[in-house]
Amino acid sequence: MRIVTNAAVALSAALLFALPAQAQTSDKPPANAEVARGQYLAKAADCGACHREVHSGGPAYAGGYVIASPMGDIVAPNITPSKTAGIGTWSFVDFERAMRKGERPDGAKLYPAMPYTDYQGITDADMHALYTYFMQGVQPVDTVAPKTQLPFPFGIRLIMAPWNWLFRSNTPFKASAGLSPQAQRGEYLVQTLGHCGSCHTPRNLLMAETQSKALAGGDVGGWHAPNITGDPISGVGGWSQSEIATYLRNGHVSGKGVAAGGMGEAVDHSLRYMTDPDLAAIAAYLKASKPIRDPAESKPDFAWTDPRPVPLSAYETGDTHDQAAVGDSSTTDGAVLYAGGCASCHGLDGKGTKDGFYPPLVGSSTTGAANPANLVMTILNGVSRQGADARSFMPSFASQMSDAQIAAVANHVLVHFGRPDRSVSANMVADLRNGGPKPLLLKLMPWMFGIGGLIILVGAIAAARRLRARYA
Amino acid sequence: MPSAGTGAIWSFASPKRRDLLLGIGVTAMIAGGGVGTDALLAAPTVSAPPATFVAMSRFVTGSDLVDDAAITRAWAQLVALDAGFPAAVAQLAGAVDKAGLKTMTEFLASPLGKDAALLNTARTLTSAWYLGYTGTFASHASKDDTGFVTFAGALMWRPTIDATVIPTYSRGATDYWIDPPAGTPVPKGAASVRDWRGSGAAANSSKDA
Amino acid sequence: MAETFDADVIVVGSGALGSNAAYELAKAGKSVIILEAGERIPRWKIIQNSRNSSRRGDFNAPYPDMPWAHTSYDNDYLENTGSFDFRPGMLKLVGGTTWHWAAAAWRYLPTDMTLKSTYGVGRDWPISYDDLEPYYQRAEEALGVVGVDAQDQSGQNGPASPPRSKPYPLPAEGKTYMFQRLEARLSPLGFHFIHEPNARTTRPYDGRPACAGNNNCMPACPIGAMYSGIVHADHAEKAGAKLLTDATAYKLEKGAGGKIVAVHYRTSKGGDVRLTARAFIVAAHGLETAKLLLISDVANSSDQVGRNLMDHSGIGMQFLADEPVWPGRGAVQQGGIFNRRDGEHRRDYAAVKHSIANNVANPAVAARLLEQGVLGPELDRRIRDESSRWVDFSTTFEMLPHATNRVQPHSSKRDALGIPTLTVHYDVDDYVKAARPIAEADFHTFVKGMNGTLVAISPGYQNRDHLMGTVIMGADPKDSVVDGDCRTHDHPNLFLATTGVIPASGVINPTLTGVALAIRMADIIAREV
Repeated sequence: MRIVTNAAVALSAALLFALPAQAQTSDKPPANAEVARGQYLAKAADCGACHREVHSGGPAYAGGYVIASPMGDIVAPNITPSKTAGIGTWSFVDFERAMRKGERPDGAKLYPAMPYTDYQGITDADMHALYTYFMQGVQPVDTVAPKTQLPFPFGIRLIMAPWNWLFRSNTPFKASAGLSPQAQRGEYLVQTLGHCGSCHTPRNLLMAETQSKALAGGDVGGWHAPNITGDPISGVGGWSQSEIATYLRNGHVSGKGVAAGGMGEAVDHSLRYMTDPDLAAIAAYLKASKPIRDPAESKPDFAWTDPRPVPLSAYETGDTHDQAAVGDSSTTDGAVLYAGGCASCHGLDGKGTKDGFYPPLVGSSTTGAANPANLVMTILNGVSRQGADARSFMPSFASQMSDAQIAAVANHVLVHFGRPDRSVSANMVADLRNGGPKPLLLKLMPWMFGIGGLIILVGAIAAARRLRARYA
Repeated sequence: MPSAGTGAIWSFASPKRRDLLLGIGVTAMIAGGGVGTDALLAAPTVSAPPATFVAMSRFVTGSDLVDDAAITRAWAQLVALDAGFPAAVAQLAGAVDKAGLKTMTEFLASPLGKDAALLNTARTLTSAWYLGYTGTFASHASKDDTGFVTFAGALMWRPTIDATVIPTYSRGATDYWIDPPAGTPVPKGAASVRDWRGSGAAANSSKDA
Repeated sequence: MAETFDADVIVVGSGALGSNAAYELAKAGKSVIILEAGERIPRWKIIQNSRNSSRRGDFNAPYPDMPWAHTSYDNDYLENTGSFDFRPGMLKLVGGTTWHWAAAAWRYLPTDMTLKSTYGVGRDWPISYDDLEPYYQRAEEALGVVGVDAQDQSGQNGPASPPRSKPYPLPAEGKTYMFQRLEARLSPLGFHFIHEPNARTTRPYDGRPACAGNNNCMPACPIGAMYSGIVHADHAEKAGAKLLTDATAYKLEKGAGGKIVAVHYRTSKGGDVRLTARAFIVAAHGLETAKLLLISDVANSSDQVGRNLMDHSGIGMQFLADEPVWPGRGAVQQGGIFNRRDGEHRRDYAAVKHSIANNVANPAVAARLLEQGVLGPELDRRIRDESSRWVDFSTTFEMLPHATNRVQPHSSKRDALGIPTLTVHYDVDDYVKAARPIAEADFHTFVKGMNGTLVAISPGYQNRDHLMGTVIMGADPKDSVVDGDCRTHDHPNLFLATTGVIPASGVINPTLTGVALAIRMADIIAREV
């Protein structure tokens, strides 16, 4: 395992040097192999997804970007080596403690928006490389990012102590026996640096990843991060290994789907920088990972490939010669909305362009998903993603269509191009517009009496866990 | 999905010319046929289009027109423009039937192809289905006697659907237009003017002049 | 007691110019109200209208022509009394008339702005190209303009011109195959082919996708790649500006010290509203701005309001080349031949711009073949052949200002709000007419150079929808309406954001210049209020 990892890293570093375009302009050029390796690992760990400036294009890792968590806004701190505003005074031990334990040098607890439960398993060698990179390869920025101030009770960072006791592991990463060396490398990337489970593993009542359902799909800010276990129906078992690797690199694969939302960002900020061997390793692991099937499902989400034809007359409704009608945009006729808003790119038949520049809505994991949330979120928010091959962009329709109109156009797409046994309501659109359904923890909060209630809850869950572990 | 309409294998003789619409994928829709009852209800209250109108529309265009809503619109508008239109269509249908003509090519080669009245009716029908509207367009005015028949279904787009777009619809990635459509014979020396003169990285610091 | 106002600044009109000014002011922390005569209509609805119109050739057709917010193709609303039917494609809705344009985003040449002193004709601008240059850059960044930095846009095949302080915000789109073929065969004859800088993005920019060549810039970009004033109407609202629709301004109210104290607007639902502000910007199109000033009896001590109306009246020519060049792939235009954009000839006749249209040719070709009586399978064969070889030149001429070319409120007609409609008197002048034979000689050379067959040269002159001169800019208050800052000579707090201020028309599309002037004006107002 050790040898494999080192070989892969050596290869990664070699590829990295061969691809100067990968270096961010605000990074110093890598001075040595250790820094270069750290830079690659920081990309793989997607540190920049959160630790960036409010607006893109600013200096790397300067922080200030606001992560809208269900508990409130978490501001990503400055992690440049600035001695005043960043982590320039941190020792390796300080760095490692933050990365593995979620604790700052002053003992304050980090929120698990920082995926320390995953980073915990990063190898010592990789951790050193990351530290070296952040100390030597990143330009110091002396701008202090604003403080995170979550509402009560989450504002009390000490509440993370029992949470950590429950959900943080202290054992080093150990690859699963029975996996190929390639899949083992993939497992390491997925479970530690890649922190894929942050989104793709469902969270329990206390917002921790439910390990028994690892990678079986989770909900993040309105988006549904799908099941990426090896299951051929509910997961990615039906994708070839090279399709998965291509998807991670480019953010789209014909006949399978496109990346938007958080996955679009992961491709844009992290995955497209990864080496082919590492992407192949991730793909190998995902395909080999323990399949988890939703028993209600019998067909993969990308397999809804038979569109139901729409007569042209549904799209071309004719000219009323009535000027008031020309200015009236209140219709909730899904076909009319589709024609005006979607067909210019995706085609009247929903098949996109032949070159795939505009993706098909037929045979797409977005339109064939059991949960239509991503379809709605894509219409609401659009797509903006730089993949290794090309840039992809879809404008947002949030301000052009009402909730009822977005529901109508989504239903038109589902009925004719996607999964016809699913539908979207205006209420669902309204919910997703506001960031998606709230976690149970937040819904229960009004009935809890602050910390007291929380501790009782934590205790109850801990008891349940132990009980279950005993009988498992 | 049947493959059709790539320039190199272009054939005007194909009886399935409508397949060429695949470029934007209207085919499946048209082939799917059917018309929402809504569209029929929304049509002007005139007599339903007679079978001869549909038959003659198909005869002159060589196309199996199936958008009933468009057929209804075209009929209503053509009758409104010209009260003599139903009789003219009946006359054309009668003549074609009597002469036993099967195609427009036969019609144009026959004595009927010299009959000004019949030709005029054929042209009126062809115009509605090719241009997608009836009547005469008046520019720089807010009103004229035109009526909408179809846009994406207009037959004038068919012959070039492998090369150009039906405006408003897309064809491919940005800059697809640098290269000619497949099958276009490219003259010699074409590469020398492919790029904009003065474009490129070196051009990005221009405070000379 | 401190005077209170409804807003720091009120902007009349939500088009590209008004919205850019409003956005800059809102961003600078000013309270801003925008009055828009029309309504807000989403893009999908406009596209749906466009595809369901029997009048695809009418670029106003997908937009409502309401009795209280008329568009310009309504002959009852805009009446002509001159020899030319002056009828620009004016719209009334949030975002304004740049909903349909081809997004040409040219800068003037320094000589365009010193026409009188360089060539002895027309008028000079009261400000110089250097005064405007930084604002051109900001306007280009606002609109997401793509261009070729190093080309000589004066068409003389010289060094990069006009001067730029920074590169274009975005790289130019790829050259169409048609443009390549025309350039390959005509440039050896001495014709200089110039890329048209334009506001169609070539990569995602400011929430807009990259242009994918849907070939529908007019009547509307289906995907929002092409800039429209709606972009900054939205930005202005997000920055805190308040946008009121169905609000037609009908009176600017004068107060003490020559200041404007209020604007009055009327809605279709009945009711008049008076709003006060520290400063006012009228950004209501070249025709309507002049009308509002005239019916309010403001800013007209020079008697120049509404006069000096200029358009780049043009002509067109189509021919069939001897080889397939395939127009219609890409956007509807991307440049042309610019040899006569500048030069000593401007002492004697107008500058000339030959633009190459790139519309899908089928509608024009099919209509022509049907007129010729072509039917049956031959029709398909010829549509394909001729659509592939169709070349369409759209030529424009520089125009000089004349006091007799003017827009006025109609003497008797009123719209549904009781506000006077428009009357225009316009004659194409001898400066243009003298250039016509030169342009037509070029046409014949183009046709010959492509071994082509001439289809037609348009008779008469065509509208180009470039409104200039109606509230003319100048240094002397006696013969102009606004100064170099677009501030009315008569009212220190009344500014005009319209291409109607342009005193020397040049031969290029004036929108970018209008936006640059609007941003410059906003900077000035932000310092004063």
